[in-house]
Amino acid sequence: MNQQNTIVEELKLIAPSVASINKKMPQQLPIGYFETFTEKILLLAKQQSDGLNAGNELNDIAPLLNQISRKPIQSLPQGYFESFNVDLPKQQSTVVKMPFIRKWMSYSSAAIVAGILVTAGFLYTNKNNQSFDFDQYNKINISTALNNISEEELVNYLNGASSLNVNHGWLDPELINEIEGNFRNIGDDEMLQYLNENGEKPIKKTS
Amino acid sequence: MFIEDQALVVQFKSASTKDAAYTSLVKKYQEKLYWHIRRMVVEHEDANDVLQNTFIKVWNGLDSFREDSQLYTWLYRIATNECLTFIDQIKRKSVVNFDDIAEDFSNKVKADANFDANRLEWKLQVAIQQLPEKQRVVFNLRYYDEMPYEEMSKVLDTSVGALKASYHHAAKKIEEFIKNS
Repeated sequence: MNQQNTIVEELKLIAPSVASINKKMPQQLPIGYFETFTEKILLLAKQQSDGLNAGNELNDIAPLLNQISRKPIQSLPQGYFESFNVDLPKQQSTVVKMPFIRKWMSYSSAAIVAGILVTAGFLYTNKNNQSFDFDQYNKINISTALNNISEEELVNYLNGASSLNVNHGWLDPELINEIEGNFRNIGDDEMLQYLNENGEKPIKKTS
Repeated sequence: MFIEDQALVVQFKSASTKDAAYTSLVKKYQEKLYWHIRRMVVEHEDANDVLQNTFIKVWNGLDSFREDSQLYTWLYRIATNECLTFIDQIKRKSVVNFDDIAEDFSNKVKADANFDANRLEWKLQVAIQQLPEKQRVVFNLRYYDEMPYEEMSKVLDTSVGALKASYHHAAKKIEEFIKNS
């Protein structure tokens, strides 16, 4: 307070009109300026000192080096950086020669896979064809074959297969019995008539 | 309640309390230093830059602070030097002479959004900008910061007598300017 009074008195002596002016600064401050300033400046100071530490480190190792200017001493051709340009080379794909063994191993692997596929395909198709020898059956004349069979053989065959050996789960057993009964009731004349109507050559009747 | 300056310096020199001490120091002196700088450079953006530079130098130099002067004297010294360096840079970049530089700073004062030419406080600000920068510093430190001449001598590295003379001339010039405006 004494200091303040001294200064006021001093100014009143030198420039009385200035002494009467309000000391408060008329300029404004951005709102909240000082609230964030402390944090920012601490961060800045630390970042800046990290850069300086490089110089301090050299001071411990080789102090003489810190005294030498880091400015380059070699001269530079005039206008060098103004016309500086980088000619980037066109990127060529490099061809890498495959080793001999690796090459043949890849070929043989491909051949094995192909062989397996062909063999499997052959076996699959061959298996299907074996169950139906159409040529063999085409050579057979059923009418001629039946004519060569005697009536006695046919009767014996029919008596042996006295029941329809049908084993289908979905067929009603009563229906099967009905069909068997109907076949027993059909006479020979009725059978011959049926065969003639349907284009089949009847078997010669032997007495 | 702010920690005593001496305690701040001791805490700063210890790694575990360095950050906290620095934060306390900044909080204690940020406003005083800000306005001291702003009275010199006028614009807020420039004052912000100079203030940051000041505190960064404090961070870098406080470890080697010899305590042969008051901490606040040392802080004001750094801030003042930073202001004068900033003003020198403007002069070097500008092709105009000193008188035009002074007018340039006056114009910056007048460019403030709240400027009122009829108010004495604004006239005072414009008048201060007419002073040479060293005289301006002396006047500001004495008039606004109420700094003793002995402390000011350490801040500006100038004798007490020279400072008293400088202050006397500065105050007279300002009064004359205000009367004539």
